[in-house]
Amino acid sequence: MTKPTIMFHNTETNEIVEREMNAEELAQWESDIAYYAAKAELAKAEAEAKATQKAALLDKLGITEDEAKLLLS
Amino acid sequence: MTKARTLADNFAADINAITASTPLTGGGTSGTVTVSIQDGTTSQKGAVQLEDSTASTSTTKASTPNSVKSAYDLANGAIAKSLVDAKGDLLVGSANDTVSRLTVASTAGYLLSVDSAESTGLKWAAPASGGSLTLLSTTTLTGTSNSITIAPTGYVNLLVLFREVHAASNNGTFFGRFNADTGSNHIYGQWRKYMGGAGDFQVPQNQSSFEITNQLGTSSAYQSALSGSMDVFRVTDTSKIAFECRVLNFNDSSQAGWYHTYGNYNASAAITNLTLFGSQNLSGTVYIYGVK
Repeated sequence: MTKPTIMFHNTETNEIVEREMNAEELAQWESDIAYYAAKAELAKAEAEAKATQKAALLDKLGITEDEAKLLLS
Repeated sequence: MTKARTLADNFAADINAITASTPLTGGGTSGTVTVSIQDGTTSQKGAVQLEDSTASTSTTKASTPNSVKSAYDLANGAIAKSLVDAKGDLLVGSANDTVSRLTVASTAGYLLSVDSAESTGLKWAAPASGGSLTLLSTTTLTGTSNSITIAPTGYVNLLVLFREVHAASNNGTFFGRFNADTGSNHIYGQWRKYMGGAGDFQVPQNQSSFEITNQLGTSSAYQSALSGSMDVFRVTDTSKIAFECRVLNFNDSSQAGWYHTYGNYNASAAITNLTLFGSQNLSGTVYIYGVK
């Protein structure tokens, strides 16, 4: 599998070099991606848990979400 | 007995005619003689009434010395037009009740500025530089990571414009990092909202990079491109570098997302590098401007 690439643009000389990431760069990139992916998963899980709790509460009350909004308006 | 001659008799005997000449009128050679003074006008000599006013517009009356003095005093306190010698000359106060001439600047574009060291308190000076934009670089994004080296000397801020940045596959995230610094020195928060998802606020956090956006992709469920801008403030002042990024994602299937990222970079050096990388391969164009 081809490694991710990194491009260097020196704007003072306008020199552009593109190459595959070295081991250190690749490790950093994987770490960055993994961190944000985990964070996104966590956010998604929290949102889903919140939605589940909300649905359970509405079910217990025997009303729909629209009816709950109407009650609170 | 001889009657003594009176003074009247003597005059009666001596005057046998009175002839009036301008401005007198009347006269005669016998009997009661009347002599008058004609009224003076601008076309004839004559008697003139005095007018003690500086407001009258009469053309038949004469001014009193008092009204003349009033007019003189007013004129004496006025600014003489002879103070002005050339085009662009300005009359400015140099002290209490004192007026001086300030000649126009010899250099086009100069502005009048305050300078207490000048006798007039003013001088012409070149306008302070500031606010101008200089395009430092245009970078076409490619691959996964793009490291852009910048020379910020002489600029206060950087303005980064993102034009149609794409991710090559779905669920792509787009990141930034200053100075290739992988320490936890990017302190940022983010407000974001994308269609199909609830609005989300990311509290400020210390990271090795900052997230510009996510949800990039190629299918209709993702946003195909982002455009927006980022200000990087005080790029050479290591204690006060801050950034604010605003981007809009969009595609042709009514998908859109709004991301507002802001924070500080706890820098040990001026900003000389901006690395833009993605979870997937990137394309698009990034313009970096120096702001004085």
